[in-house]
Amino acid sequence: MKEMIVIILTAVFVNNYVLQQFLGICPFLGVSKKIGPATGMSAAVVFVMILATAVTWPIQTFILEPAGMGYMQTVVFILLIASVVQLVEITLKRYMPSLHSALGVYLPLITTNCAVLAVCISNIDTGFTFLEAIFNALGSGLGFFLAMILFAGIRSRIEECDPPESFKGLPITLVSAAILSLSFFGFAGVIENLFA
Amino acid sequence: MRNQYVKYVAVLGTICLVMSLMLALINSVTKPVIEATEAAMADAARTEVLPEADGFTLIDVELPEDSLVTEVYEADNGAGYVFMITGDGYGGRDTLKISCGIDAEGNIVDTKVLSHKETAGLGTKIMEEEFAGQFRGLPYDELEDVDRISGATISSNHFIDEIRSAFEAYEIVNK
Amino acid sequence: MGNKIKVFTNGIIRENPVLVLILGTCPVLATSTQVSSAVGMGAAATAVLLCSNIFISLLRKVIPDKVRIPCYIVLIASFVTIVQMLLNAYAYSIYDALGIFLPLIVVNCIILGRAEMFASKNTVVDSALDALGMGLGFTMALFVMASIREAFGSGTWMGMPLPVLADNPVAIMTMAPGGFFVFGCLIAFVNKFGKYKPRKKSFECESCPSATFCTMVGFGDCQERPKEEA
Repeated sequence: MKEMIVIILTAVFVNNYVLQQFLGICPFLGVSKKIGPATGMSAAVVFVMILATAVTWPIQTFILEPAGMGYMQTVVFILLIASVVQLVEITLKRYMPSLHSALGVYLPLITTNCAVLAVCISNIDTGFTFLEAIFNALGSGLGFFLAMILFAGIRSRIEECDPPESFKGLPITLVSAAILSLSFFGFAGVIENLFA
Repeated sequence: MRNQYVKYVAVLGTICLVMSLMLALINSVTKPVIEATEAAMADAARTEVLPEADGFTLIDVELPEDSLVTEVYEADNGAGYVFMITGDGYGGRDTLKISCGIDAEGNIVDTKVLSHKETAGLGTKIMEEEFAGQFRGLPYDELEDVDRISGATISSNHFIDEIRSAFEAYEIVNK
Repeated sequence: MGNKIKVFTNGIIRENPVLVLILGTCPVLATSTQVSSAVGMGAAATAVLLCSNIFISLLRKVIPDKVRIPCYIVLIASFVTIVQMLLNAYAYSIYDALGIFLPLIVVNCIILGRAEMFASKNTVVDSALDALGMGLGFTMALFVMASIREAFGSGTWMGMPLPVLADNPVAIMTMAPGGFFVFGCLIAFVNKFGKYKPRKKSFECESCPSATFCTMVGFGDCQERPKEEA
């Protein structure tokens, strides 16, 4: 269990997908203006990351690799992710309309979110077991969640400040993202020694 | 209506099939090249830490469960052993991978960081001559006297832990 | 002829995918720590973009509208895999430096975006020129950004040590915060001195990778979708 907690905490704080690894920057900049959409989008990302890992890991391990078709990874994964997202959307719409109205709108945005494909590929590359892969997906998703929520809070302040003309809009947003990313450096080395 | 669906499936299916065939074809061309390059690179990485060896053989060693050593290579001409070690770094669990060559007398020939996630400018000093140079010619009993890098003590300690693991594995293979 | 030149230069300056359209931010931030890996990334993405634009333009009359996105994704993913295999075999150092961002070219917004916005509507020659222009624009932006980050962060340029800077590297520039910071400053620079209309709005729908099939395009800001009609 300790191992799993370390995997989650590392993914959330040390290797934060958005702030340390530059994955999922588009939604991070696009949907973080207000806290509501930011929460919905992040929840959908967590959900899809776990589901996509649960589908892609067995397929890579039990079908592609034994068949010597490891090179089809990228093609198969992206198609699987797209299908999973579609299926989830249809299922939610049909059976859980309330959840669908909360998350559904963000689902189509996630198909081409690089963080989802990245978590599937890096789970394979790191050589995680199935359980570790699922926990890593959960941690990566939660890391995305944390970054989004923190940044949504920061952005509501940015909106009120008055930067130089040329820095208005995206540039000042990126500069504040730099500072937020810097603050995450404080976590490096902490997780490893937490349980030592 | 039905005709349209048939067309959709047919077009998508054909594209998938053609592209898969193309990938299989290119894979068959590049696969031997990739394997050859990877083997050559791995061999070069081992030669770098044990230049006197003329070739390497992977040997099977009973290592204790907590050993950080992942692979042990024996030099074909008896020049020594090369240990592949993976352990924790400052940047996370199992992120610091190094190789270490130990000669027949039990002294380190050289070490090399293969991959890491250390903090640039601080932890990355483990790769600089001032720190890494200390290990050249080092016997096991002097390992604890190595100077840690100020400001990167944790990275230094992880590095030394991995070298210790290599020495421990050396004791086992050299029995 | 003038028209063709315009198609080509469009992507380099006026609609530079990185600095003006703000597309493909992830690889730009991640691979710009060194000039060599940035150029490798630019070249790999350009190759994929060129192939996908040519093929999608060739097949634009064959691919039915309803299944176009899956078709594009399969084509793009295949070209990415081909580039991946070739780099692994013949240019291992670039393959190693790009790491996970090589397969992630599949979800690079520039490629799907150009397929949808340009290649699906234009002739093969125009699409190829558009791909080359966009690819060059992407590579140039990456090159500029990597030059700044490598020069200040490691004190080198293409691996060559620079005077003064080599003795005083600002390591933070090669790390994550430096990426965000330099990118922010570059966009501010373009806003300030660019001849073309600066982008006032922070982030627009067309720069989103999912714009092609997002139900909220045009409503802006990824807000809740207006209630569907019954």
